[in-house]
Amino acid sequence: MMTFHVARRELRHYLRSPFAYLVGAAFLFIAGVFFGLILDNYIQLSSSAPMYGEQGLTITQGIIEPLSSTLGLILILFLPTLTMRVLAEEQRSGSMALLLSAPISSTEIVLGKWLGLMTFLLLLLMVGLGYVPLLLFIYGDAPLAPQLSALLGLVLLAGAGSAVGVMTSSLSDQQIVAAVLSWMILLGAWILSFLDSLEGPMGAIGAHIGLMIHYESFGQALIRSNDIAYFVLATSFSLFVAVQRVESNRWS
Amino acid sequence: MLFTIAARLLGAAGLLSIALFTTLYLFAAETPGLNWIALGAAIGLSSWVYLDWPLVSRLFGSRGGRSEASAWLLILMVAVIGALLLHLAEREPQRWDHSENQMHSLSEQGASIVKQLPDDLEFSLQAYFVTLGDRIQESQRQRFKSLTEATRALRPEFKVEFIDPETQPARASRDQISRNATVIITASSGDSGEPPRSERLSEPDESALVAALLRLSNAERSAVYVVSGHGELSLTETGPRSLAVLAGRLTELGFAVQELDTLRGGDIPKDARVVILAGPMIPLNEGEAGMLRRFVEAGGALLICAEPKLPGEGPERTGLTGLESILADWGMEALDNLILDEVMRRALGDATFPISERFALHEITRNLQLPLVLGTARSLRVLKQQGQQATQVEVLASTSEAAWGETDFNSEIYAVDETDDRGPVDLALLAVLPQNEAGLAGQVLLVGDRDWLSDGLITEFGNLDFAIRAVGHLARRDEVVGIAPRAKSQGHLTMSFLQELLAILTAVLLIPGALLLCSGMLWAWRRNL
Repeated sequence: MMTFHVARRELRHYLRSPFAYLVGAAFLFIAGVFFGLILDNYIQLSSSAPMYGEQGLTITQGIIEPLSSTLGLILILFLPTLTMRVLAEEQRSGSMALLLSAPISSTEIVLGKWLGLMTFLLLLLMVGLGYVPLLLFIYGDAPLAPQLSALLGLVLLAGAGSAVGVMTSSLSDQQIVAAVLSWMILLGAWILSFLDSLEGPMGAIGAHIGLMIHYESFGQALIRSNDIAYFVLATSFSLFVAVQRVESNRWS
Repeated sequence: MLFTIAARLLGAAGLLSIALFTTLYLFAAETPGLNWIALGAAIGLSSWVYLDWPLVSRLFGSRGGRSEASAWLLILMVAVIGALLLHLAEREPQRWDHSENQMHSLSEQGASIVKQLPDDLEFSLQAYFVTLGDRIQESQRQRFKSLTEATRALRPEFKVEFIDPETQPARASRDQISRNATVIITASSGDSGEPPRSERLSEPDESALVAALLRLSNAERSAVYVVSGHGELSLTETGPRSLAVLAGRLTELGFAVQELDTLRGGDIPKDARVVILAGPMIPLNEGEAGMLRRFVEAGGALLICAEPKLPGEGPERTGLTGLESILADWGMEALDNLILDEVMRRALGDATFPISERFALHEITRNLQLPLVLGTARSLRVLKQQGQQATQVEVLASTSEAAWGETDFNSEIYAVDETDDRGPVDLALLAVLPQNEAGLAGQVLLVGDRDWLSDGLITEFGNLDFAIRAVGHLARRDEVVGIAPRAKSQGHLTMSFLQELLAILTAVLLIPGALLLCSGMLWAWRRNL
């Protein structure tokens, strides 16, 4: 129960924070620009393809896949700005000591903060990007399953990314250090995907650890158990590290 | 001080080596030098413990330090367990393909064949793809990778290795790789002592891959003979009179394609499944015609491309194949005209390339996605036959009503008149003869053009697909050539300019603007608190 209490408190903080809205607006603006480009490109392509006797793209290939891929990258660029304060701010202001003295476990604190952040992110995605499925339904024949698959990928990525943010926020009391660490981990994991093209051990590492490799298949309407496992493990591990850090703060 | 820094650097190197060893051991166990990495980790960590003992004892000596150290140890253990779980998850992943065309899965037929491959055969695949190539090369690599993943989902023991011929030139040279996207599939039968068999694919799509697997699991190859000696399209020539592209594709699909000189007499070879007569310029003599008739009546299959006599050609060109009377017996006739197609005149500016508008519901044409396009073709006609033993003739492809068979080449303006064959005109006919005493029914596919089979035109529109399906059906190997990738359907999204503009404005300005407004209002509200 205490987890949900912390989550409610965290969510309330985000909903009353001008900075969170500012970050959300910037995220949705960039996402909107890319959506506009992708939509326009698809409409042009699909109208010209039959003239040349070519097979056009499906809505998954032409809109959902590129949009999902772009949203993933924008999300991991913006996430650290939202997550950097989660625990670092508490440590810096001294309110962490107060929190730790309350009858609440480290796990409940970390899980609560992560859940609050995730709820805010889901609200942001629903309100800010809800127009995409609406448009595809009203003006096109977009099937539901690929959109749900892309949404699942985005939620898993948001979960793992915010968990990494909570973890790095637990490692330092400086918000900027937490944000930089978070960017390094998330972008590093994203870039590792490019190693997949190489042969040998580097290629194998890229294929197994690369964030993009595991994320992009959701946008292609392909759900794989290993991709789900990757995100669940990354989220669990990050939250576990954060719990250990908070726990060690309790004893230090 | 330097001594302590060096010791801590050694310790950090040791920790990094442990992480590297674990990662490589799990995901790339064949990496050489893994033992050395483990040894380096052990030396680094023990040197740190020995040389930086004051810090180590402080870490593990105090209550806070012990807690800190045990927390990190726990984290390390959980990381290793997590990596192990990820490794297990990567071994045989489950896949759920929700795309519109099931584009990440094998077609039903392909999947059925892969599932039924013999268990005692081990398949390994070496895929030579340039890794840091241009966009098209990368797209080819990704498509094939997706195909192998779909195959491995059905047959996990299927071994796949991607090799870059540019970084491993010696290996590429040993396997005689001369072009990107070449795949070698090897089947070995374990303890049986038989040497491994291999197949090479240069157009590695689903149909080629599955057909190769099928061939490797049973070694029979179907013989296709191409008649030569009458100015036909040839296997040995290059350029627009060549059949090399078709022959190459058929070879990949498990056919043995070779030329046949019918002038030498005798009979068609016994192993022949299909004989192709690709547009003779000189008519076949009676002996040759008789040879082909006997072959078909014995249950064989014949593909005839009857090239028309074109305006301006000399008297030596008769436009005859020498098989006219036999074709008439089988209920078919190639008319003496030239098809002109208004559809193609409007689209390409040349009416002498007729395009099919209708396909019959037949094994050959069932899954075709693109039309058949001929070049300077003649129209065909089904002749009425009588009696119970009549040949069954089916129109496989015909043009739209905007095409006709022109017979008058003296007029300056070409238009359909009474002597012409009015559209829609027939482009391809399939005749199935009555069963003979052995229960076999010969088949004859007649097309009023030969250019569509040549290298110049075969890769245009659906020509290659039609050709390999036709040969596959005539050879009674539909299961090999009929493995088409899933049909693709195009998405549908219709928006007017205004609707599109409104959608983009909503996405770019309205929603972010609303959030920005919220941010400003909150900021002002908090400032006034």
